[in-house]
Amino acid sequence: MPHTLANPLHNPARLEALRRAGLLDTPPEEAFDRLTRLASKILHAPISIVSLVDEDRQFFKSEIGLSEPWASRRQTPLSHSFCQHAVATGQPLIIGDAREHPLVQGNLGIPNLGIIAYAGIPLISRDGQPLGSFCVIDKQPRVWSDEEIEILKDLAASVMTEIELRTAIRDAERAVEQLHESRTQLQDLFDNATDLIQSAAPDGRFLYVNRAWQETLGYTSEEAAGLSVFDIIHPDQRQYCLALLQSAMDGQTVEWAEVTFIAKDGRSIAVEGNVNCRFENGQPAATRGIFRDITVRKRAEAEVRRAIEKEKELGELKLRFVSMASHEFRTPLSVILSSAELLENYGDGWPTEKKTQHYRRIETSVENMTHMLDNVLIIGKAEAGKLQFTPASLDLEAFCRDLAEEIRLSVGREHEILFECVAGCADARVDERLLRQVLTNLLSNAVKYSPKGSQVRFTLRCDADCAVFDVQDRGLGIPADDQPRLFESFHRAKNVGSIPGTGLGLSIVKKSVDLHGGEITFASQPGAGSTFTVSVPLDGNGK
Amino acid sequence: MKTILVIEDDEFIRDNISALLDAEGFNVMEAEGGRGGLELARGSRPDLVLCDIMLPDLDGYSVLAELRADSAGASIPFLFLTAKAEPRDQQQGLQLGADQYITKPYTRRNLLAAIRTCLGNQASSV
Repeated sequence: MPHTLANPLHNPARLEALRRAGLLDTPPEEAFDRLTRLASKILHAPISIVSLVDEDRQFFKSEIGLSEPWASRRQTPLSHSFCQHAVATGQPLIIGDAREHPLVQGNLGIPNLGIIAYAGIPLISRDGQPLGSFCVIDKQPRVWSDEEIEILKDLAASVMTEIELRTAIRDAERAVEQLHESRTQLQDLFDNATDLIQSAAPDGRFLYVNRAWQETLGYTSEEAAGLSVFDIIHPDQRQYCLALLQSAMDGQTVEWAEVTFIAKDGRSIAVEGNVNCRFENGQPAATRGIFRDITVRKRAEAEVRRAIEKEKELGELKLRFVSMASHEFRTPLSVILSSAELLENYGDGWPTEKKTQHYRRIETSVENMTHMLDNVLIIGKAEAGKLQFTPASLDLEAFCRDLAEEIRLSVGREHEILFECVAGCADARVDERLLRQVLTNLLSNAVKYSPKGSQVRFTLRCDADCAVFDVQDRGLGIPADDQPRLFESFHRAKNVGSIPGTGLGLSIVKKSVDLHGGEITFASQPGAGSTFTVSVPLDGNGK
Repeated sequence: MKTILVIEDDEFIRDNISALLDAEGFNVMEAEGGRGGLELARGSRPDLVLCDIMLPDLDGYSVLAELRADSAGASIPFLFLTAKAEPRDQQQGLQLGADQYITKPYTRRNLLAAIRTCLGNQASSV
């Protein structure tokens, strides 16, 4: 076997064990010197050595009785070494007279160190590697008794214990060092991670937060030490968070959770991550969370979603417009065409009033269509978010009174329009143009969908913060099925018959009220009429 | 003189149709809603019913269906005049048994031609 043919002194595992013992080239130590002194005294030998056999030398960790220069040098080349043979074989080497011994008779230790008799016990490490030998030397021939060899073996065992002790200490020190090093590496890893890492005591107090956590939330680690998990959780999510921590402390790892943190400056930060718990003796010791800041991603997602939604709505709006236009324009067009044909074919013999009546019908129908188209334009603007809210001071009572009069003179000619001001406001901050849209649409709807001669009541009631407008009719009412969709663009109730309309009026009303930051509600019973109530803040702050 | 019942909720259109039919020598009865129209049709047996589809109380489809279920009203020619211009609306109207289906806006010529066709059909079937 090549292994045995090779010089056992050069065995890398042996040399590694020797290095690990950490004794080469170290100063003398009392613990070893005590043992060499003891051996020399008990065994009546002038020289005793703890010799560590290196690749090309032997180093004396301890010696007693050597002459100079060896005593000071504390080492010799292997040409002077008897110990190397004990190391090479791993067996005790007992020599009565070196000058006659075939193994060592040419050894320079004989002339230089004066070795005649030699007894050496190999020092073998716990993992079986011979590191050196513990020996006693006499300068004259002698016969080593069995008892003496036994004593030497016991002392060698003590030497070995000392060596192992040092190896153990060194190993422990190295382990501590490595631990420290990996701890530093881990700390570095945590600190430099882009994820938010936190560890908290079972009561929620923070034990550790990494740099990304500190930078994202704006707290220093000192500040974080005074905080609890619940201080940085969005108030709405306390219960949810409590449940998360509880399940972690029950031993379940929360693989994925999405929560909202509140930064020091009050910003909301959406994060996702996982939570688990470290246990000591079966008791929860610390919950640990690793989170990623997904605020930007969420914002981008929401934007994309909004854009898609918008695109879909606009597409739908276009479709509804096409269907509305193809349908709703046919009634006024019928009036225009039929009145024109009547005038053309039979008008010659008609009295002037009858002709005028048909011209009026044509004009009214054209106005109707224009009004529908105007509404389409307004809703298009509103859907594109281009409807502006520009509040300015307005006397609401005067405004409403004028508006009621306008309706009375136009679409409401054949109805009874009653305006009542319960409490006015001379300096309301509202957008007059939008408010006009709201009230004109509500009033003309009230007229349009109620029988001729019936009452439309219009009431204004202001308090310190709000203006409330009521528009009440005794008309068709709105079927329950249509009520939820009432404010949708182009939606019209099923009971409107041929009454012309785009289905845009209430949608415009709703959008205008929204821009004011106001509210609209209604109560309606088919056959009995409807009441719309709009309340609008007077401060002009909008939504 | 043939009598035509016009069921139409839009005042201007109803009035204009009446004016046209009157000028063309027909006797005209008017109804604003489906229910009133159905009663008139049952009570006075017009020679033709000209009916809108979208009506606030009872829609034109229902007026036709109820009329066709009557022994007396089953044979009265029925003409839809409506803003519902989709082919499937027309199909539905004809399947229910309408004789003609005219979409708004109508022309004098189309309306009169359709009316004459209906009345002629009826004359030949009697």
